[in-house]
Amino acid sequence: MASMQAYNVQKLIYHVNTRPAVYERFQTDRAGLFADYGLTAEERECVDTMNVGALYAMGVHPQLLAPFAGRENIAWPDYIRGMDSPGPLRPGSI
Amino acid sequence: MPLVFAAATNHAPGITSRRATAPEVEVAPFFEGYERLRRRIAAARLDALVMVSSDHIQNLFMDNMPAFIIGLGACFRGPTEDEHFIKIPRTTVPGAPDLAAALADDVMESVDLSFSGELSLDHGFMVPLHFLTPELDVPVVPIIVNCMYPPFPKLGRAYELGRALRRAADRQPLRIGLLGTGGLSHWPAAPLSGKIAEDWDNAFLDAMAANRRDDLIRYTDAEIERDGGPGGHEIRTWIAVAGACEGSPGRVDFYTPLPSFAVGGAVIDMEIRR
Repeated sequence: MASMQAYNVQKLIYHVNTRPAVYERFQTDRAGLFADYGLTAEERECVDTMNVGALYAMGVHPQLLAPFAGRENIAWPDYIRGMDSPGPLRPGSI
Repeated sequence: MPLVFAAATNHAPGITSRRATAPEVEVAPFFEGYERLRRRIAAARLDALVMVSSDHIQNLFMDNMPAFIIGLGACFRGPTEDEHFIKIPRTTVPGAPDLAAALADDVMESVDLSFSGELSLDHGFMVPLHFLTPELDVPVVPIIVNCMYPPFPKLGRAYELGRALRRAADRQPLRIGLLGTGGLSHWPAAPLSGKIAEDWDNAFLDAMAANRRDDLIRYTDAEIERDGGPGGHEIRTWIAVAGACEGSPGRVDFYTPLPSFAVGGAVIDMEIRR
């Protein structure tokens, strides 16, 4: 685990996880939020589609990804499957 | 009164969040062991419990990451995680601000500590507390060790933190307990989630039981990551307890793999020799 990789997207997820106002904006103004945090197009795509496996491969800490996915109603078995096989995840799917 | 109780155990969100779906035959020894620990803590009649754990990126991020940070708050909200997920109701845990400030001042004779008046408690604190002081009637002094993002505090510094805490606690007119929570080997929320390196865990427990400082701090970060997983970095919390009990052995109450909770369950009690 290296620090400072994918810093901006990690910071965004940290704030979505821990700051209600940022989570509110994540729900209502995602494009603006992504722009403010300076996310790349690839990072935006991965966050938008809950591609936790790809985010992990970029260097995002799994301790950020698990609560982030849980908040978006990704089932735990789906989360683990997504870590093994990167790809979009949908809420409640299994 | 000085430090009167010291132990270390593991934590994991699955202990509460996935308890209902875990096979009873697998997890019963763990909960029986936690119950024994609860009784020992109650028997110690503590005025305060100093807890050393990690933060799971709930309070702290790379914008300002301390190696060690102590909570000086009068109370702490927790759990930080979604309470429906973690299955622990959000509550307020009493702090011990005067004691925490006194300990911090004393510890900083040899180990630099950051401090905060606004820490909240994640599962690293709340899962053990949920079982061990379920009435939340023992004030808590939380100390967080950075086990999430490198550069991590060196293992020897974690041991030194424990030594400094012991010195500080022994100068207080209170009955103080110390509980480290974290580890042992695990790969939490990662592709290898559920893997448990029993041999690695048992070697570490042997070193804890003998309180062999050189063996406890021999691991490099790369070795921990490879053999104990990312969650293995949390052995720093146990090493701090060993440091507080330098010169005293420990007794492993139990060790049992808990694949349903993606961690090995263990409790060690440390003797406190004067």
